[in-house]
Formats: sequence, C-alpha cells, structure tokens
Amino acid sequence: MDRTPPQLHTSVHDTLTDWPETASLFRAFKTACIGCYLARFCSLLDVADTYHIQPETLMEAVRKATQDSNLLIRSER
Amino acid sequence: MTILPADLRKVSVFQHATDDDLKLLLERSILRSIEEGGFFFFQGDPAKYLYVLVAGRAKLMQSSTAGQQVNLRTISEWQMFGALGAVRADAIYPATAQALEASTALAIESAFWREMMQTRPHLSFDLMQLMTGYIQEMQERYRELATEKVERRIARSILRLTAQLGLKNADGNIELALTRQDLAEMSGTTIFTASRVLAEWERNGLVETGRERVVLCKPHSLVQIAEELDES
Repeated sequence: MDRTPPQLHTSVHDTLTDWPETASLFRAFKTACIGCYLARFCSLLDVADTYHIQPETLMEAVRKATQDSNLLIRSER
Repeated sequence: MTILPADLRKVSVFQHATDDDLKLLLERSILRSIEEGGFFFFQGDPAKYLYVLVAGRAKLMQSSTAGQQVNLRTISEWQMFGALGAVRADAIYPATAQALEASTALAIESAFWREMMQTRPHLSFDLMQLMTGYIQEMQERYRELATEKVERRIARSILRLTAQLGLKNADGNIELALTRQDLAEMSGTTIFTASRVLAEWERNGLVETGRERVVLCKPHSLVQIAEELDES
C-alpha cells in the first residue's frame, strides 16, 4: 500500500522522517530546514510562506519526490 | 505513582533493554519525589544513584568556586540524569540537580546499573549514545562561547530549548518556559545582556516575553540570527 504523501499541514520533521527522499527538495529551494531546531513546529505551508515559494510549487515538488519513491517501492515488490 | 516496565522504553538509554532488564531495573529502583526548588543531588556528592525523571522538570547546574552558577541543561520527563556513577565507581556528581517544579524520579543504584551493563552490551551502547550526544552538544556550546556574538548564542539557546521543550500555544505560536536568568546562564552571558537582547527582539516583533516564558512570534528570524542566514 502506498504511504500517504505529506500535505501542506505536515511538519518538516514528519516529512523528512517519513520521506527522507524529500531532503533534496529542501536543499533545492535553498531552505535551512534540514537540521533546523524548529523542524517539529514548521509545516510545509510555513516553509512556503517563509521562503516565498508558491505552496503549489512546493507541493508539486513534494509530490514528485514522493511519487518517484512510491513507484520504486512498487517495483521492488 | 505506578511505573510499568513498558514506560521505561521511553528512556533513550533503555530503548534496547529486554523486558527482563526493565523488570529488574524497576524492582531495584526507588521513586523519589522532590518539591519545586528542592534538590535530587548536589555537585560534589558521591554519584551513588542515577535518575530517570518520570514527572516534572529539573535543571542541572554547576557552580564555580566563586559561587557563579551555570545552567547546563533542563531535564524533561523520561530523560536520564546523574549517570556518571554508572561508568566510574568513584564518580562524584559534577552538577547539582534541582527540581523546577514538583518532580518525581526513579533512582537506580549506580553500582547495580554498572553490574547490569557488564553483561548487557546493548545497555552500554545506548548509554554511550547519550554520552556522545552530550559531548557533541557541549563542544558546540564551547565553540559558540569562544567564537560567536552574544545575540547568536542567545538565539541558539532559545532554539535548542525550543526543540527540547517548546510547545505550540492556542495562537499557533511556539512558547517556551524559560527565565532570563536561565537563558543568560545557558548563553554564557549576564542577565542584563540577555534582557537587553530580548527587549530589542521584542521591539522588533520577534518574540514576546512574559514571566518565565518566551513566545517565538517570528521563529524563522531567530533561526536567521542563530545561523547567520541571509534574509529569505
């Protein structure tokens, strides 16, 4: 079964813990989220707001990163 | 208060302990309750017991010979503290443990824990994890003290504590129970400097301060100060 992908309200901590493959997108958007003390408190919406990223753009990148990973899981079965 | 063996799994050092280990630990430990402001142990006492905080909050502080106090860390529920005697039989506590509110801790005889670790490497490894984590944190703080501006040190202390103890309040802001004295001690500065920096941040809308609390209104701005990031 596919894992539920992160939503806008998902925290950065949960996103990175459940979907480590999203780490590269946090770097690509030049955020300081990886290793941040506040990762438990910030949602993806907060990230979009703080770094002036369109929420849709961020979520599209998240979807792409997590979709690729789900495809990988399916193909490994 | 009843503590079950399964409760002890919340303690990082016990995460790989077997059910029998946990049962044995509980049988051989005692519960100690301390009123707010009371002490679990004093700096310089023989480290006969190690503790696991099961309720409340405590702080570890060290005093210099001149009587100046430094706050080393805040202990929250299910954290182990005072574990030096587990490694060295002649250890003394390097710090004083004071209850910040009415608190209860499980006291385990150091000699007994030392004996257990000799036949259970998983417990030794988990204690080493805790110790190496503390060493890394202390190295980081030493570097900060030696090289960084006071604003950066204060911001970092607030963020570090937020990661450990912060809570989201009803307004969605992050709130932290913290006195200016504690913040000053943790940041290696005076209470006057800590108050001046907090007042400036409050004027700029970064934080709101109240009696023994700090609300982070613009948490990312504190990250920018702590990490010297460019404005995003």
